[in-house]
Amino acid sequence: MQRSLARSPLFWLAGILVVGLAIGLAMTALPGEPSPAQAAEAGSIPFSHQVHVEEAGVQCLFCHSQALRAPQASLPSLQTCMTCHEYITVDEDGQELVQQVVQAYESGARVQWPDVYKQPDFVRFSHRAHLAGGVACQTCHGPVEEMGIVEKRVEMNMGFCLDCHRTQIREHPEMAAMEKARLLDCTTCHK
Amino acid sequence: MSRQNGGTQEHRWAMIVDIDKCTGCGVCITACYAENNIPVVGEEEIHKGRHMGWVRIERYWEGEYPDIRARFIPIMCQQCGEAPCEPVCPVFATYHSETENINVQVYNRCVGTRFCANNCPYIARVFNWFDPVFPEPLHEQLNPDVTVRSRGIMEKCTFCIQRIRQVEEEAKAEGRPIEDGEVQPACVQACPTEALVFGDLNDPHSKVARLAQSRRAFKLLEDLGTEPAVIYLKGGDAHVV
Repeated sequence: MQRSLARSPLFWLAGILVVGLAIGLAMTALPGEPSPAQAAEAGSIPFSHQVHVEEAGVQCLFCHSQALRAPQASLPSLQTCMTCHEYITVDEDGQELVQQVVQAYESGARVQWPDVYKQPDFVRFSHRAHLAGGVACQTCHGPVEEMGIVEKRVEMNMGFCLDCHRTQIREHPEMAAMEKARLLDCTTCHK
Repeated sequence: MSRQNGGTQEHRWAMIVDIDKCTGCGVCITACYAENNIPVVGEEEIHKGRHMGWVRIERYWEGEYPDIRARFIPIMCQQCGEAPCEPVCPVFATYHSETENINVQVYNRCVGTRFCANNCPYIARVFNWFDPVFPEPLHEQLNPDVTVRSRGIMEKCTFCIQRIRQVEEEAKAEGRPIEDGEVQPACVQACPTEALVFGDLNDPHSKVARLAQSRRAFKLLEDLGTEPAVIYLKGGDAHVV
């Protein structure tokens, strides 16, 4: 009985089928390189501020376009990247980063930028108010234009904010009394 | 001084509540819940007196049967000029904002002693006995401009300070004074009979400044000397039945 089973061609056919299926499953399940779209959605586009700001001369407000108008400075969509990269399609150093961004855009991915600075829920901060007051981006964000991947250089805590607010009061004695009070009022920054 | 300049002069925000116009519909309460991320605690907790609403509507009856009428008074934090809640806070979580002349609660500073609520003659403060729960789909509509308070925090009506701040910031960025009626707390915006009016008493031409001069004006528990910023109007027969 044993011998006849091993000799039967059906037994071998079934064996080949099972092994083949197992190899196929393993190949699809194994993690390979993520596609550009997956990389964008996972927040792993290696965006260099140094290349874009210092070398190419792009202004902060070009990508963070809401900073003058809204509390949030806003992070750009892939469409914003494409305003330039529709034409600039080649990397100078031969890496294919630009092509990956183009591919991600064409596959309809929505980029998810990682949070570098994140304030707690009880903090109210307005980019518009600070830009209107003439505060430079680098005052709070550090020398972003020199950084490759942006990193946290400044510890944005309450002491950091109040130091600057108190300095404004010291350096601008002509400021209206209410304006001074507002700089130190709890609800100016706490919600 | 006809109008307030964005940030250089102090405001004295005030609310007018015309009881003759109030129908007790409760839209102000709903709007407040939605605007200020107030959790819904459920029937059981409300029976224990743990409701979280920042506005409540008190109903009372006037007259004798058959000539009897229901009247309604919406009561929220009165934003007292001499607030009894402020001096009792051991950690200065509640204090008087000089610039807005309202009574402010700083949530992340509050340690939950509840002295303030104990001292409030208007019972305007509510306490978070539990961590807030926002069952689906309510969690989708939380207001990002307002903190979600956690357990052990005292809270109360803020005159929607997030809206005040937003208008101030806009006005300042555009270099113009704040218009009368530009700041509208959620309850004022929602009130269908316009029983609620909000504005700056320091602006003599504002609607609230005019209404505050009305002979129908009165304040709640005025003899306590709390100097409330909420002014009620109540006349003779002009009320809604």
